[in-house]
Amino acid sequence: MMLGLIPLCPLIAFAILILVGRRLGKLSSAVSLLALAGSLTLSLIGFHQLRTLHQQLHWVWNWLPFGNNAIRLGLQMDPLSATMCLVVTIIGWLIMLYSVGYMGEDPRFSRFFAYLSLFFTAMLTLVLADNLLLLYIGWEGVGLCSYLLISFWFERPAAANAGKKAFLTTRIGDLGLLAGILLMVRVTGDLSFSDLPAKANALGSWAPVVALLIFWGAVGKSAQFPLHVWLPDAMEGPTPVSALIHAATMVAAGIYLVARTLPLFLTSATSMLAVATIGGITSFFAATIACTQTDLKRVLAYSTLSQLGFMMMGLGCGSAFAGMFHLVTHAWFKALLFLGAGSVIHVVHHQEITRMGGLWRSMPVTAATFTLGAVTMAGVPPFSGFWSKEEILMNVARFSPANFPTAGTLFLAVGLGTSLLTAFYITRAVLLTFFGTSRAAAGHGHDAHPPHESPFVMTGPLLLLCAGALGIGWIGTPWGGHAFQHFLGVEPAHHGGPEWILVASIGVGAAGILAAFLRYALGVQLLPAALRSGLSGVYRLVANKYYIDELYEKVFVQPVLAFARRAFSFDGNVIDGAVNGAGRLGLWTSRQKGWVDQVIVDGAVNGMATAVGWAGGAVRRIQTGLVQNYLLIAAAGAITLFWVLQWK
Amino acid sequence: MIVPLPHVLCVSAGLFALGLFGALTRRNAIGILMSIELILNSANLNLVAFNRVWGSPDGLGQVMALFVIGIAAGGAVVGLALVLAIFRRQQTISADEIRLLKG
Repeated sequence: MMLGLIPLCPLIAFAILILVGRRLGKLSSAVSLLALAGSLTLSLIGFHQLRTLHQQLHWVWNWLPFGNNAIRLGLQMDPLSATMCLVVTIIGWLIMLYSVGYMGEDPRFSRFFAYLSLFFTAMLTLVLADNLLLLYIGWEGVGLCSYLLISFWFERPAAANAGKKAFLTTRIGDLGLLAGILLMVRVTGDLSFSDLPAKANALGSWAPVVALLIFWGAVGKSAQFPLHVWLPDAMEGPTPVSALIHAATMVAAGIYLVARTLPLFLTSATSMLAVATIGGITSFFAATIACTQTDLKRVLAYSTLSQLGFMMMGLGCGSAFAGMFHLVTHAWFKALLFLGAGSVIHVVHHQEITRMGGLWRSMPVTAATFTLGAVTMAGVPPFSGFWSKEEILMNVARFSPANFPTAGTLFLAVGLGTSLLTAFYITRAVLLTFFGTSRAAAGHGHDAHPPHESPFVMTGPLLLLCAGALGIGWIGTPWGGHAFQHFLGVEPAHHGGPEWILVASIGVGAAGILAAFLRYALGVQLLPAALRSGLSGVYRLVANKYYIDELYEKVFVQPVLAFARRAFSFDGNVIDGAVNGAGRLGLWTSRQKGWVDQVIVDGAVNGMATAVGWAGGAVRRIQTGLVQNYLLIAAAGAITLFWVLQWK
Repeated sequence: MIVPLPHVLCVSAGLFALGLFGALTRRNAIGILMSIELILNSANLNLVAFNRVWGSPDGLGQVMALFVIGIAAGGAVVGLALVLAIFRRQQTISADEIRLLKG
């Protein structure tokens, strides 16, 4: 019952805000914050029970009873959902607090908090669901909220289009998840998460199919290649939304789903390999794009793609723990980075890092927290990003599926390459944004008032997130007693991992930071001029995101639009023509009938009337009105009658 | 002395003819009413005469004559009332000028 209240609290807030939000004004944020604080408290209680009493909360109700059986829906809090619950509510609460400052000027202030509350309802339903059906309901719910919040500033066509793109692209993935759910219920008749290994056995040869269909859903939601195109565009939404939905929580739902259903994947090397491959491709190729972007939020968006790919790679190599650990640390530092970016954008009113620079003087808190977040993400020990990245790399190195024994080495190379690029692009973003000299005046002269630090309601969450980002990795380290591993019920994995990976990972991180420092702080050209000109084509390819958007535009969007136009013209010419033709035929028939009616039927009726009138006119002459005439006629008639009878 | 029946019938027919002539030619509505009384009285004469000749023991013909006289009085009343009403409306009782029923 208590579990039900966790998603219910934000739902109540949503109901209040959507009904009377406009009257509440600024109080709307208080309603939302209070409701989410309720969910947070309840999650903490559940977590406490789980941790100290080893007692899993589980609440089931019959949704559709039929006969002796029933479709049951249930909420449960096992270690995996407790982790997600805490990440979502704690980080979510901080981001919501930040939004009070960030959205303060917005005319649709309370609408924003209503959508956020609805998002939390859906997200908490998703993570607490004890079966795929309820998870799917939450899954679609967060998709809807994502759409609403991306296009929150729908007056801007770019935002409206980005919302549409996100919704349609994730829908392609959701179709896969739905198909997976249907297939699973068809074969096993049960959708609950309990005892998944047995279900995987029951599925038999269907298991890889179901697993890959579920993975396809995760690919859409977690923006993995080739369905990643919506996430960078989703940056059109307000920055807190980018931080909450498109970095920390919703996009992590795909990771959570795969981690949750990992037993289905483990039955087949092919599906594991597919997950790891997609994750590897996404992580590396998104990292290359992030190196070339000049929009601060887009750098972070591609970085999110890359990190999600990294988690997926960890999951694909068979370690739910590695993926979840990185999910948790990533949620903290990426939320921090996004909110820091938001703080900058809030002040300078644009997102181009080429027109920023030197901001640390005017915004010291933002600059410090953002830099620390970047350091965490670059994988500098002993901060959290290092530990979770390490965990993934260790697992990747051990990965050796039967049908591709050397996969581990390959993925390790990809992982190290990604780490190098990650360190490079995030250092580049920090240097260009906060350090060096200001390039603001060069472009536009509208920055009349100098940049200043954001209000405390925004810097406060930044500080708290910064503390979390730096420290959260501790729960997974030997010094933290492997608390997180024990909580999730896995063995600490550091035995047997090759030690040189540790060194290599620190080395590539340092190399990336150094390279970016040389290039963007000291202005040293890293590559010889000849090579640079040779690589300019590659640079253009990467900077244009490998032309994937253009490719999709050509292969999917244009044909669909062309088909739609064709269908429209078919509709306009043939269908409308038929309808109009039928209409015209009806009109013509009616005219004929009208003519018959007016000329023949009316003519007959009128003719009758005319004839009667004419006859009447003829006969009326005898009606003289003189009583004596009548009498005369009567007398004459009587006499005539007499006479006739006489002669008979 | 018994007047033979044909004589009486002749007188009666004369009366009827006078009455009809008057009714058809008089212009004065009251004159027309008086002529109609003549016609009725010719019929009364016939009734009394036939009663006398064929000798109905209870004098049915005479009773009929009395009835006719009574009803004629009623008819005259109605007729005179009509004439009076028409005079009030039309300021005339000349039958030539009263043609309200003209079609």
